[in-house]
Amino acid sequence: MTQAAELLTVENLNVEFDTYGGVVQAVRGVDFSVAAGETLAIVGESGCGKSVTVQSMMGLIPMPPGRITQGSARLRGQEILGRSRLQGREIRGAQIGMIFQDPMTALNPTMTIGDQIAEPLQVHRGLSRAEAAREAIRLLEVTRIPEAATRAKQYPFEFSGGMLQRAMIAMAIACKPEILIADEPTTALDVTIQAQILDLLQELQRETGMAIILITHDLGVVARMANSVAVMYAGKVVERGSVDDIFYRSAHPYTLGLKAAMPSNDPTREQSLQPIEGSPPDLFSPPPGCGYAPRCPHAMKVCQQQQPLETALSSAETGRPHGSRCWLHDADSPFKPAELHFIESGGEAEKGAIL
Amino acid sequence: MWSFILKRLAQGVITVWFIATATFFAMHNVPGDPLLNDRAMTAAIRANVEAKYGLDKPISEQYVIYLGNLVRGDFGISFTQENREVNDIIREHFPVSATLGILAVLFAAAGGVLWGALTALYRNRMPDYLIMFFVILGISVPSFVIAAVSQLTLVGVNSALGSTLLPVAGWGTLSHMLLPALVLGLGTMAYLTRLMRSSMLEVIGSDYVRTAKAKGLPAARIFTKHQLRNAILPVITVLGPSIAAITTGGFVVELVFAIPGLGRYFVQAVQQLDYTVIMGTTVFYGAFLVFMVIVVDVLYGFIDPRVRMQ
Amino acid sequence: MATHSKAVLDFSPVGKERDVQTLSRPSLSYWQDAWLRLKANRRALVSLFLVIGLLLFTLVGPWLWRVNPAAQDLDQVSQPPGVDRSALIVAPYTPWLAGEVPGTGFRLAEPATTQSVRLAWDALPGAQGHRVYRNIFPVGAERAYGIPRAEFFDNSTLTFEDRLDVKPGIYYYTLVGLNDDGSLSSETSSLTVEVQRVTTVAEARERRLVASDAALAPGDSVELALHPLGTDYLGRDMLARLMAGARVSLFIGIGAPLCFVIFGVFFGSVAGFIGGKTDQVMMRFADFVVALPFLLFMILFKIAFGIGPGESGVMPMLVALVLLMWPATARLVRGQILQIREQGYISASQLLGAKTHYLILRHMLPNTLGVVLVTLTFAIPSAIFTEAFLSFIGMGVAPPTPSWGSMSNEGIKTMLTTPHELIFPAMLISITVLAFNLLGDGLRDALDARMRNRE
Repeated sequence: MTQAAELLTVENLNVEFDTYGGVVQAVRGVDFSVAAGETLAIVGESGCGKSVTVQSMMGLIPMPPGRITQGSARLRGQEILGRSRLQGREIRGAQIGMIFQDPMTALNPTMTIGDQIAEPLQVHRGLSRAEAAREAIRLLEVTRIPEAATRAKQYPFEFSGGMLQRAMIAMAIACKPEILIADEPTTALDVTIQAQILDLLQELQRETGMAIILITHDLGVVARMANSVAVMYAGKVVERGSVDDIFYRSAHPYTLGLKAAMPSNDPTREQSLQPIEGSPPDLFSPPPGCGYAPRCPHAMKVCQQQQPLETALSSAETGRPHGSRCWLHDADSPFKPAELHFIESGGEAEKGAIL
Repeated sequence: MWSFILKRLAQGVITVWFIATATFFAMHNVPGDPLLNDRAMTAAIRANVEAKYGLDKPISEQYVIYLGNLVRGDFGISFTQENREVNDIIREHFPVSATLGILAVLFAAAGGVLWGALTALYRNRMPDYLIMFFVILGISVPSFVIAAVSQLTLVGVNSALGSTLLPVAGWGTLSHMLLPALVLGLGTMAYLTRLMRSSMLEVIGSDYVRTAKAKGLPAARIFTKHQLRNAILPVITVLGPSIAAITTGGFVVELVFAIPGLGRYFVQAVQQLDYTVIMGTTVFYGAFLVFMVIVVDVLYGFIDPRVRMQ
Repeated sequence: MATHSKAVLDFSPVGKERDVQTLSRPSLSYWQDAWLRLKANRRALVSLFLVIGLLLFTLVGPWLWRVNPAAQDLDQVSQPPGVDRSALIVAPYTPWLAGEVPGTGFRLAEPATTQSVRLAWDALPGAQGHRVYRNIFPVGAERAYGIPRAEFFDNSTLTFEDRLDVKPGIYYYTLVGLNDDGSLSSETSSLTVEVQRVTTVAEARERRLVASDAALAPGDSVELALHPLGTDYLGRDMLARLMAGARVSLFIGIGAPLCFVIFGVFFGSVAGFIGGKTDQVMMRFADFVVALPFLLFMILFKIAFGIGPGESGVMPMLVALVLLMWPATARLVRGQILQIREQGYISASQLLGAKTHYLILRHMLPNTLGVVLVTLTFAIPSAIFTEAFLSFIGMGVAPPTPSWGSMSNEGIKTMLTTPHELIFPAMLISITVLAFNLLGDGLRDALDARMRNRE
């Protein structure tokens, strides 16, 4: 894949929340970009700020207590942050669609599925009620829901979880958005249903050419879906690059830690999961240095004192920049970058083993 | 749905039967002799009266007669008012109470939903604090105090204007009804506002409202189609008990505003120990309240698809 | 990447002794956490102090203010608080032999006192007699003269002595001329009279305002008994009555909820724990009691178990409240128990060999305690309201037993003239209900597990 024109670029996004205990800096300077037709996975553990990142972009975080203090997000060069509600609406739902983690609660319990899918069509495309209802049935068919016409008249409580997520997808793609944000779309679903939903997303992407931003904590899903990956930790992107860079040339100790903590189905490998000790830092008072330093097996004094900047790493064949925020990559670091990929055992076999 | 309605109706009938029975035995347990209050009564007159009211028969027989009368809708004759049937009293005075009650319920429900939604939308901002201040006042001040104070204020306003803005007491025109209905509905409105506020806050924070925002819907559409519709459901479930609260609250308001409603009549009857009127109105009120709760339950079933489908 | 000054950077590895498992926030027990939350909630804290203050008022108050709430002070009937309590000593009353009264027009013959107001006037033009009215409010445009006090059908009597229940303060007298046929003419004359409080030596001694041997002569001044909040329509001390009323109102308001919550917890936990058919039957019964119209049954109960002479009617009301209000708690507790029974930690505890009574005492009850406490706090204002409502319509405690509700009932009759008789008990009811409501809100927020991780 060659370097495509960037569709969405997010730069230095900072989001804070006021709480009783003080200000939580949930997102601390996040950068990433998505090209048309590609899938970006944002990976990280719970509370790392990945959902807040996309929700603040979509204007979905409650303000107050939430607040975007800095940064920009441009869709085709056009700023979408901090726009008036009216302008924001034309982007939300029309140019960017979104699906959520728990389809059971993400749909209005007192409105029929058909009506809920028809709503964005009426609002953004100006379709009449009847037209929108017909289109909603077609969309349900597109998302492989049997007996779509009957199903459209039913309420969410009459649907199963997998069906609801299909309906959610139908709703999100109703206005043919350029980007679909999927916030942990399969976390609440059974494993078999998960695979079906992911297949559906890929199929829709092939047909429509939309970009997908996939939020997940499941490296298996990343390996299966993503072209490029951003690994988040404690409100920052600690490593980003193509999916191959992340899996085969992991540079950040946190990425390595995540991989080591993944179960593998490779029978030739010795099975021992290595958990990452400790827990993420409290974002009430983020540490002055690297957020991962307290848990990092390679931590140095400097890690505790100063924030590492992003170091560009070689990104030979993909054209996607590969970067990592880690002092180990600093020119003065006692480690050599080449050694780093192999600090942890494993390496080459990793991606294949996950799949 | 139909089996649900039938089941609720059957339960209602049993409850009303229990109310009737409890009323009957409560009345027969009253210490003292109901006929002793009257002026000197010869044995002959007493026997006549006892025969007329069936008081000479054993209590079990009286109970059967009483139930039979009730089933036929005959509540008997007033003890203290000559030749006045309890049915007449109810027929004459209940419409007044009902009018007042309906106005109060409308006022309470509309106000509760409106203020509750507003406070939730403006959470922790000025309108929220202002409305919640009045809500807490409405919940904490007894209805008779609100009635008395509002009446006092009206007296003051009327005399300051030198004309009658609204009549202070009495009954007849809509202008008579406004203030009492307002006062009667106020406590319930405050309660419903609180309920609506917390229900609305829950809905505002819900995933499906976030979805609606992500769809890029206009705020007005999110409010009507997604927030209001879901937030109102818990309010509807307590409408039955609210109607009961307003009905009994009417006793006090009718007393303070000198409104010739059944509530005032009931309180008077209780104070004068007018047995048949007490029995009749208690059973009537009981049946009315039980029925209203059933109506609201059924109504809820039609509104909430999750209940309707079962 | 040249933004860092390399001189200060130290790339030496950090030692392995770090304890990465240390939690960054201190661990708190459920109740510690709840208490911290409650303390942070200013409204709840204020209401907690209010509740403590009310309890002190009720329990300690009567020790500090030792006035018999039933004693009548006939010198000060329906006396608002804060009025001048000094009384001038005058000679005992002697009948008025009205002679020539100096002056013209509608006038006072002597300074007006609480002993008597002596009025004199010249015949109004064209009047064939006069009528004298007295009002406690200024005569407005609506010509509200007040109560007629005297009527004379000729002009032979041009004086009037008013001795009917004269209180210190301002009175507005109106003199209206009468026509031949006894109808009111349009001729009127008005007089504003300020009445001075007086008493006699004998009275002052009798009411123990002064020592029985103290030297006292007309012209001296004595202080009447102190009533910080005034007196009611029978001259009883409001403060003492409010304290006595608080005991009744809070006894019912706190006692009844305490009883029915305890019963509800018992009923609900038994139903929830046994489950099955027993649970169904028990809950059907609770549903049935809930369906009964509450206030109607309270009234019925009161009629059926009427109050005999000398009884206060407190116990019947308490019993009725308990009988009718327990199901809500029972339902709630049962729901909680059913929920907790399904929790993993119960199974875990069972697997570790825990006995039933241990499960109930160690796991189920502590975990329902929060909800129960909140229910109790909200049940108190509703019980106080019920007492006030019933006493207000005359179906509550029997006079002379004071309760805030019955005091309001009495006060509302004289609301226009002496509003303090209504305002004080009504305010106490309102403050109490408010305090418990806010405290309940605070407790719910502090104890609600769902709220715990919202920060």
